[in-house]
Amino acid sequence: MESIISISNISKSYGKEKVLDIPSLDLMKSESFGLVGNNGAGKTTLFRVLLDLIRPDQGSVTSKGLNVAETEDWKLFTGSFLDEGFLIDYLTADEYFNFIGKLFNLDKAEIKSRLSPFEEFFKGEIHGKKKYIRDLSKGNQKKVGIAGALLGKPEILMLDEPFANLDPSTQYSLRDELKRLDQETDVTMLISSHDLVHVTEFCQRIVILDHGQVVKDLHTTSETLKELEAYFAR
Amino acid sequence: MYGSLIIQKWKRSFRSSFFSQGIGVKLLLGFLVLYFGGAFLALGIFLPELMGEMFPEETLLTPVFGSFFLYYLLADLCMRFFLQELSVLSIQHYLILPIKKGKIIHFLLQGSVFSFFNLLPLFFLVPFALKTVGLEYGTLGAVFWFFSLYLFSLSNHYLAIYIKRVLAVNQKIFLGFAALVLGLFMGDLFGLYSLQDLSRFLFGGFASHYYLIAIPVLVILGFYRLNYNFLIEHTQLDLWQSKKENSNINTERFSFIEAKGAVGHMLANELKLLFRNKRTKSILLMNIAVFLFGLVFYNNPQYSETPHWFLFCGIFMTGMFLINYGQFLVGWEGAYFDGILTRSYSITDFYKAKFLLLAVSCVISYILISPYIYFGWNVFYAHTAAFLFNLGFNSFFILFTSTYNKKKIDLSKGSAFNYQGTSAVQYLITIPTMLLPVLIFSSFDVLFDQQGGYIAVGAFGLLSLAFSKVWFKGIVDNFKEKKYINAAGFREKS
Repeated sequence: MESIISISNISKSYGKEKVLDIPSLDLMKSESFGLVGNNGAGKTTLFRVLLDLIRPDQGSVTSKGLNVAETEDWKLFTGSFLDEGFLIDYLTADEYFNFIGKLFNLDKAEIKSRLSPFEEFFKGEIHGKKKYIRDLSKGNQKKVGIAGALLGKPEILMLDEPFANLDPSTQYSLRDELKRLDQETDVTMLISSHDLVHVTEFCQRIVILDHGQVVKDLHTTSETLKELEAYFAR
Repeated sequence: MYGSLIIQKWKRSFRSSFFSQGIGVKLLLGFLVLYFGGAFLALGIFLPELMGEMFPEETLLTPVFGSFFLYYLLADLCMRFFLQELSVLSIQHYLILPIKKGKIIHFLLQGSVFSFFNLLPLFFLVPFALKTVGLEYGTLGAVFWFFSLYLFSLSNHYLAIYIKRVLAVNQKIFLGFAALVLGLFMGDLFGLYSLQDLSRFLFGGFASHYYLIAIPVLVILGFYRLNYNFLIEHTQLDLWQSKKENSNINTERFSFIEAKGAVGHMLANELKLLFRNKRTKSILLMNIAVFLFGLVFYNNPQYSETPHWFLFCGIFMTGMFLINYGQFLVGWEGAYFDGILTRSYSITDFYKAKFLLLAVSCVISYILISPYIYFGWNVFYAHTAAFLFNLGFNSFFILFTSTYNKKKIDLSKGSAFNYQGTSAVQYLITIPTMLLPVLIFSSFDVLFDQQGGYIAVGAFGLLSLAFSKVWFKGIVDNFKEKKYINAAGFREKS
C-alpha cells in the first residue's frame, strides 16, 4: 500500500504546553483512519496542521507528495469539514453547494446528482428551503458541511467529530454513507470521533491521541472495541 | 430581589467586552462622549445670546426656545432610534427563573433610562433653565420648565424603544409612523401650518403655567405603559428570533453575476454578505447619510476659499463605503475563514472580487453625488480627482491593510456603537487615505494652481491603478504569510 499523507517530525506548542508531537505517521491510500482521544488530546490541532490552518513549530506534512504549507494544489483533492467555521452562514444551503460546486467547475445538474445520495440524510430539510445556513439547527448545519466536503469527490476526506450533534437516525445514515464510500471508492478517510462504536465499525485503523502524542496505533479487529473501552475506562 | 437584578445589570455593563476594548477604542469613545457633551453644553450656554441676536423683537426667550423644541424632539427621536438598543434577549436568562414576568419587564424598562442619551439633554436644558428661564419666570418657573421638557425628552426614550420593538414584529406600523412625520414636515413646507408655531404652542407655556407639567407626566407614563403592555405579550423568545422560513430570500437576484466565473461568484457572495447581515446593512445606511455631507460644505461660502476641503469632501463621499467596509475586510468573513483557507480558492480571485466590489462602490458613489456639480465646476474637479484616487490607490491600500486584520466581526449585530472587531489600527488606516490626497493636492496647488492639484491627485490614482498587478501580488503574498496568525485570531471567540 502506498502512503498518501505523510507526517514527519511535527510538533506544536502554545507557551510551554506541547499540544502536538508526532515524530512520524503515514496514512495509506484508501484506508479509513479513525482518530480518538479525550478532549484536549490534539485531534483538532492535528486536523488543522494537516489542512495548513496552523503552522507547526517544526516538521512537515505532505499530501500525495505535495507539502501542504508550500502548495495549494492539495485543496483540489481534499474535502474537509471541521466545524461551522467552514460554512458561509449567510448563504442558503443551495447557494452554498452551488458555490462549492463552482470551485470544482461543476454545473447545477452535476451538483444535484452528486448530492442525491444525501437526500435521505437531509430529510427534506436542506434543499429548496429559503433559510440561511445560520438559521439552521446545529445538526442540519453539520449535514450541509459534510455534504459540501464530499461534493468535490475528494480523494482525501477529513471530518472532525461528524457524529456529534446529529440525531440518531442521521448518525446511522451517515455511518452507512461513509461505509459505502469506504467500500466502493478509493477515498482516504480521516475521521475523529468520541463514539467508539461508530469508529470501530468502519475504520480499518484507529489511532489514539493523548496530550498530542500517538499512544496507540491499532488495526481494527473484532477485539478493537474492547481494547479501546479498556483504554478509556481506566 | 430588585436589588440583585440591579447589581447584575451593573456587573454586566462593567464586565462587558466594552471595557476590555483596546486603548484606541476607549480613546475614541471618550473623545466622542466629550465632544457631544461639550457641544450640547456650549449650546445651552450660548443659546440665549444666539437667540437674542436672531430674534431681537422677542422680549422673552423661553417661548422661542419652545418653538424649536419640537424639532429637537424629532431629531432626538431619530438619533435614539438608530443608536439605542433594548434587547429582550438581555433578560433571557431571567425568564426561566421563578421571577414574575411583570417585574422583569419593569426592571428592563426602568433600567434602560440609565443611558448616555438621557444625559445629553441635561447639558443644554440645565444651563438654559438657569441662565434664561430663571430670569424670565423666576426659580419655580425654571424648575417646572426644566422638568417638563426633560420629561418630554425621556418620553422620547420610551417612544423610540417602542417603535423599535414594534418594528421587529410589524414593519407596517413603522412605515405609518414615518409617513406621519414626513407628512408633518410636508405640511409645514407647503405653508399649511407652521411647525414652529405649533411647537411654540405646545412647549412655550411650561414656565408660566405650572399645572401643565401634568402633560409630560401623562405622556411618559403612557409610553411606558405602551412598552410594558407590548413586552408582556412578547416575552416568548421565538417572537424575537424567528427561525421560520423567510419568504424575502431571493436566491436568484445575483445569478447573473454568479455566471461570470469564480470571481463573479465570489463577488456575488460579497454582495450577499452585504445585503443579508445587520451590521453590513447599517454601514450602507450610514453611507447614504454621508452623501449629505456635501450640503454642509459646498453650501458654506467659508469653505469655497479653501479648496482642499472640497477634495476632502470628495474623498469622503466617494470613498465612505470603501473605507468603512474595507477597513474590516476579511474580518467580515472571520466566521468562516478556515473554510476559505481549505477550499481550492485562488486567493488572487478572492481579492479581485473584493477590489471589484470596492471599485463599484466608488463608481456608484461618484454618480450619486454628481448633482453637487450645481455648486460649481470646482466641485466636479474635486470629485473626479477624489474618485480616481479612491479607485486607484485607496482601494488597494485598504485591501493591503486587510491582510493584517485578525479580528472577527459578528455580522448579526448592528454597527451603531458596536466596536467589535475594532482596534486602534483601523483608525490609523483611515488617516493616510484622507491625508495623502490632500497633501498631494496642496503641494501641487502651491507649486502650480488648483487645476494642477486636482490633476496630480487624479493622476496619482490612475498611476497606482496601472500597477494593479503589483498590488495584487503584494496583497496575496502578504495574505499567505499572515494567514496562520489571522486564522488563529478569527478562531478566538470575541
